[in-house]
Amino acid sequence: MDSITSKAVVLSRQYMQLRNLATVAAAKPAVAPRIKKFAVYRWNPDISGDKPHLQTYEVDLNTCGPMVLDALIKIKSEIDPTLTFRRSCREGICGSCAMNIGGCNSLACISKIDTNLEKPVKIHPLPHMYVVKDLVPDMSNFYAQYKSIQPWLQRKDESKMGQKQYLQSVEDRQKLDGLYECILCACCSTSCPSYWWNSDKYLGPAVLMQAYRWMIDSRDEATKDRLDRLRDPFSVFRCHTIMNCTKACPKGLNPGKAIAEIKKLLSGFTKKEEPKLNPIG
Amino acid sequence: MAAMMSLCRNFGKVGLSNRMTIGNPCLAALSNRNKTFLENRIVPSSQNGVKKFTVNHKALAETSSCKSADDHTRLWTIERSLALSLVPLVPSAFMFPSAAMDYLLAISFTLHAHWGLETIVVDYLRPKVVGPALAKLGVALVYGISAFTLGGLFYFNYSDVGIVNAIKMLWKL
Repeated sequence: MDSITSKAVVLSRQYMQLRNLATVAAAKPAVAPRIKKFAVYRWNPDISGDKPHLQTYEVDLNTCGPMVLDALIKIKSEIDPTLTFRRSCREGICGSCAMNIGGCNSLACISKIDTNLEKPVKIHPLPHMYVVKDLVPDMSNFYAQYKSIQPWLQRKDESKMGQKQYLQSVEDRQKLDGLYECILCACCSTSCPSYWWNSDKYLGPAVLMQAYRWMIDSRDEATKDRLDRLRDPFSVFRCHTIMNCTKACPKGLNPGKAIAEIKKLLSGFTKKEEPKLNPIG
Repeated sequence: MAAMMSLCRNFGKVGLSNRMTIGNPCLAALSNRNKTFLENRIVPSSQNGVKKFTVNHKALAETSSCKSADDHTRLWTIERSLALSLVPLVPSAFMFPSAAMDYLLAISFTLHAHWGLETIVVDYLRPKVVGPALAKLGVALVYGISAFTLGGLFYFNYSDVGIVNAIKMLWKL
């Protein structure tokens, strides 16, 4: 027992010496604060006569996380609690914090703050959307358009739905890669000039990519109906391949290409292939 | 997302049965066609000056089920085919000049420009912004310009040197 106790004493003494070294090393002189300016769009409908304006906040980047959302949360909690914005997952998967940062639509939680202290970061809500307050846009139209493309599996005979899995070959499942990952953040649609001018009738890249996702799903049998619903001059054909959508997508998806594939299907240039595996086995 | 999906599924069941049982969804759709998507399907209401939007599900289901009355696909495909055909047509007009080629060029250029201009006017002269009268006037103007252009090019082909020769002469300057 004695040897164990003495060993423990030696070890704890060594540990304490190491700890002292660490604390001595850590007691450095204070680092100069890196002040970054954030110019944020503000508008409060509850204040009568309020007009949209830019409000500038100063944040020390040394005490703030690296992403724009970190700064916004810091501003809200320490400087101005009235700053209003949507947020949830803080990891780029929910799509809540989509906003216009430095002129480009992206998710605030995965957009790094530009550490150049000379220039302010300009933060605006998604372009050409009705603003509910500050950075919160009204997404009702966007969601209604998504609903209108009937984003669920449709088969001719749905009497036995849910009893067995619908089979799908690996190759057919790969066709959905790059389509199913969409988080409906609306960054792409709100970066599209055609959607700015005609958001009432043009569906926009996000919704169209999801329409395509259901069209080419090998298990879906309503392809003809899905296409027929898009034959008018506005739903699809306001796309002029501007390709802002693909540039803006924070998840790296390609809505522009999906729309091109829809146009090919609509014009009859391509046809949907037969499923490699019969879904009902 | 999951909540929205179940919402969509419930909405879809209603929509599908409407399509099968309602007498003439196409007629209903046509009467709604002049209204915009937003006015028809999204009903704005105001409270404290904040615009709220609710969704008119019935109108949403009916108007989306009968778009076949408005098939723009064929026209779109012809527009792209024409654009594609201009690529070999223009050099071959210079390689094998003739009066027929001149007239073919005149028609192709005018048609291509007409459809392009019409798309621009439809994109930008939105009835919601400039009013329905000016939107229709814009399209009519495009037709007028195209007719004038075609007439002018035909006249030029007939009584003057023709398109290809004119470009060759301009190039020599």
